Amino acid sequence: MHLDEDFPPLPSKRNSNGGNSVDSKRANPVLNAVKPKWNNRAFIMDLPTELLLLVLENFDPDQFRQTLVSLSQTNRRFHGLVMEKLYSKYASSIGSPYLFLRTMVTTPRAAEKVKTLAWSYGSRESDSDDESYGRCYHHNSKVREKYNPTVSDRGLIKNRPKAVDIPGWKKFATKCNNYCDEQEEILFAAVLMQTANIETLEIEDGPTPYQVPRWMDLIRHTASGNSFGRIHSFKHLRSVRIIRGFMHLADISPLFRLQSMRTLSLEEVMETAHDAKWNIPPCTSLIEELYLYDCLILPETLAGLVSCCRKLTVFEYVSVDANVNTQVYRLGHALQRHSHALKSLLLADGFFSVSQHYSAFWLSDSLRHYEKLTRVAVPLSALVDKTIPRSCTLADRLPACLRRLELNVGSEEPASECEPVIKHLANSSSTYLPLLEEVTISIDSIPIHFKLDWKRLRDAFSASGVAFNFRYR
Amino acid sequence: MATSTEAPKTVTLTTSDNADIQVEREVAERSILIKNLLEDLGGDSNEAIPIPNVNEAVMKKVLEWCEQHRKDPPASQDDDSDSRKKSTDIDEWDQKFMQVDQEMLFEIILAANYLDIKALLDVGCKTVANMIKGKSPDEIRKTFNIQNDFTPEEEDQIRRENEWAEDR
Repeated sequence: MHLDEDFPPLPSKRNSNGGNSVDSKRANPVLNAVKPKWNNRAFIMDLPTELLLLVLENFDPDQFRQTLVSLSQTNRRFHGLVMEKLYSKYASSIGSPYLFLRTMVTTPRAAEKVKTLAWSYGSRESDSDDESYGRCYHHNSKVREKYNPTVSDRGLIKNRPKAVDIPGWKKFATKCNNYCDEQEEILFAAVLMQTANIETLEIEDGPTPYQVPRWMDLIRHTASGNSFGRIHSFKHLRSVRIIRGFMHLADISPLFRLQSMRTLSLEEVMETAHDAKWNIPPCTSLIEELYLYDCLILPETLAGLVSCCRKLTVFEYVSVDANVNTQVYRLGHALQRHSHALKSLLLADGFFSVSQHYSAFWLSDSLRHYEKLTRVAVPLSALVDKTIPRSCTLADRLPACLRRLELNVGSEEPASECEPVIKHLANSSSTYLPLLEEVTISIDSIPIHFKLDWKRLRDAFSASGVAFNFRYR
Repeated sequence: MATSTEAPKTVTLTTSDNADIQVEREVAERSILIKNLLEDLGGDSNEAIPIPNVNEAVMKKVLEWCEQHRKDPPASQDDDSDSRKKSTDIDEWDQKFMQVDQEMLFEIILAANYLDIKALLDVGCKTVANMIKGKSPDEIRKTFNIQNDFTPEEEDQIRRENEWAEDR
């Protein structure tokens, strides 16, 4: 046990009453912060906890990690105070995953603080199978050398899966201890088992030696209500982002079952006809925000994803499917379910050649009755079928509560067809869209190929108090 | 706000060491505590306001800051938002103002907290943060006269606990 006498008295102890805040016998250094003593000479440790925390607020963990580490090694009180910040977010790119796991295992108090985990196990060599998907890998320039676990490390890591009693813990622990770069995923799963208060996950998925990543397995067990040893039940997990998914879409479905989940973002997730069918029943998931960027998803699955949510408030979909027409037709119907809740809708085409794909005029009558939709960003052709004469009205098909409208014009669409639509919108927006604040037109073309009288359009919009912007992409 | 053409209204503050300081009301009202007190006392009270937690030297220093910042726009509702927290930048005048010994610095912070002067509290905390930034544990202890209260075993354990963040 530490004794005060180990240390010579410091100048800061000059107060006659010895009124410094350093007290080695404190059980909890954070809670027992000593109140400042007015009229005595002030010293940093005299600052009450709330003020020290105010000082620490200036240290963003991403920028000042080393400073936070230094503070945690300064004295007990600072050690307790910085923990929240130091551990709130861990990214596998900022420090050795194995060593982080070791801390999670040995220091449960630190593990409790982890709210966000960003893990990349997808940035290694791609094998031939990966290339068949035509995906491009940006090799992560990690130069960190692999940490070689010591015997005592191995023992520490081994005890944990044993303690939470997960099936096959021995094998699991051995894999953690013998991890290689391709298996960093297993360390992620092991960390996830420790972090009961986890709220946000950002995963760069990659090939794993087993079919479904272990971390998803943990969630699958929880979501299906089966006990999986004594690991926590992801009560606080609200937001998951998966980038470059190697997982099949069906493998991700447990996330839709988790009661705490609200936001899901999938980027570059592909689905093939051979994948297992989407099996989440309609109107069961509590996910409210769904972002699908550069995803290749079968039409029925896309509709299934949208339908299984009870109440979507945000839906964004950037497709890389050449047959987006058949997709969006089903999607239009699936979205109807959310007409009372949807606040923001974005549809775009990753290929930048919108006009061919969205000629179906599929949203035509469906948006007017959306009750809360304040932002719409869609291809113009998804709203208006310009080939039908006199169908160029747009304002009366948009929701009356709309505030921001972003329309994308494809490279194949002639300006002469778009002009009457935009003009009509400008002239009729005050009648149909009283809350409209901003209209932005983006054109996938160059100015000489797409000429409009922008000034007149801007004037027409500003007459109804709407800010008008345009840009060529 | 006092916008009349008459001589500016003043108030008297009595510090913990019983010194009376006369100061323009507008300057004193940078302190939300004093502002609320004055409002509670009603319009034209000439009573001295006791500030039992701040001594004369510190109060004078705080009022110097209030004088300089008397025309600053009042702190907005979203004052807790990002813009305030993210940067450790301090404007030049404030930087010079904060070039005081550590005791005075902490006294200013404590006074700003007590008197409820958010912007001054913020500058004080940023100044301390700047003194900590980039230092090793030893350097931090030296800078602030902090006692190392870890046992050697604890020190070792914490070093291992933090090893992940140092392995780059």
